[in-house]
Amino acid sequence: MTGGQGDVSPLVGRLRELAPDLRDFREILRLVKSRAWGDAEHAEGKVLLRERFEALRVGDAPWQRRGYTFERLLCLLLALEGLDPSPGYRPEGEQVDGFFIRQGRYFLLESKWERDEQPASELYAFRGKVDGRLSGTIGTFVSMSGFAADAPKALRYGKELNILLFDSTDIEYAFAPSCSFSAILNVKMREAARLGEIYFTYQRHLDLLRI
Amino acid sequence: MEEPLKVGFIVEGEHDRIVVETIAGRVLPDGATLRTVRIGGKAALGSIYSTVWAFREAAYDAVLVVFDTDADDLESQTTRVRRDLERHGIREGVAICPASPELEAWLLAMTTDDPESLARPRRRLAETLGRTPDAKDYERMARELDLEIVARRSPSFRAFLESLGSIGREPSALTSSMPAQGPFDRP
Repeated sequence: MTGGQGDVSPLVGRLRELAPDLRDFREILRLVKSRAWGDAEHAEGKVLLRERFEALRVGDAPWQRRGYTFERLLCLLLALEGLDPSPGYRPEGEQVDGFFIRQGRYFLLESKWERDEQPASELYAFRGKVDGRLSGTIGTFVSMSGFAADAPKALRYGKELNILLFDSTDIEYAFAPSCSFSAILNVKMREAARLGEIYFTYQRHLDLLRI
Repeated sequence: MEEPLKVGFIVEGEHDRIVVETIAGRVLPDGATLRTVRIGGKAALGSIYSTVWAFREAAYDAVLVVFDTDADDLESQTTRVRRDLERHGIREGVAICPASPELEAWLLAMTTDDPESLARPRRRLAETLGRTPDAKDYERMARELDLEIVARRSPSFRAFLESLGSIGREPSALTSSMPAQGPFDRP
């Protein structure tokens, strides 16, 4: 994206220079939020973020470092989509991986990139964080290794639903040029409202359209 | 003229889709429509009733649900899925076909007499190939399987094959993965 001949958009230029572990992501986050950027800049910015995501996927970084980098990458993706994310923070006694706002609703974000599926206990713990927030706050739990078989069901019975689950296929679509985290969130919120399902993947939604 | 069959599959992921559709393509009559919904993982099995409804609304002749048993008991998982479906009014036209312990055991059945006793078949498959298998590998392996040998060695595959074979005959009550007759046969 060029602002003039040979000029590169400051956003695109800065994204190209992202540190491998995204330790400079807060500076870029401020840049993304600093003004309105054009469609082309968003598109090219997303391509650059997707390249980082792919590099993370095939790389051999230790799990913890991969998890931190992923958290930052997600934050930048949400910022590009105009979801006004706040990066991870530590209120007293707990860790919150992120927070964002969409269409007047508030969302807590938990992101995990670990070896094993997330057990029900992790979802319960996250639910505890969400329950302690303003009524109507929704939790979005992202796990690149998926969820234990009993996890979503355990959260569902007899309780208010306030958690949505994202897996690796959802995130792959979120980083795809033709899709967005917001579009995926829309599908999940609809199916959670319609069917009471907190784990309804975007892939499943697309497959159903082809029946 | 008879309408071509329409068969739906509910599976966990892409590699499962490739395998079941390739095998179904070899078994079912030419011209059958095959559509697969990938639900992401076993964690979504509790909600497949809505997908079965969707297949029914689209006039599919049968739906087969295929998932890995992993370390869990095949019969208890089958029963759980069946009960979930029955709770939502679904009692026929669906076959529950868990792969024991993983679908990759079916693909390895040509190399061992007892594929269902393999620990971590997915990992074993990668070791056998010397790399992580990709979509083309799954498609090729499913296409080259000797169905008779695999059915002899893997009870869960045999049940899947029987379910496919009974499609097109009159539908019957919902059964477990190892019926005495095909799950889509009228008793």
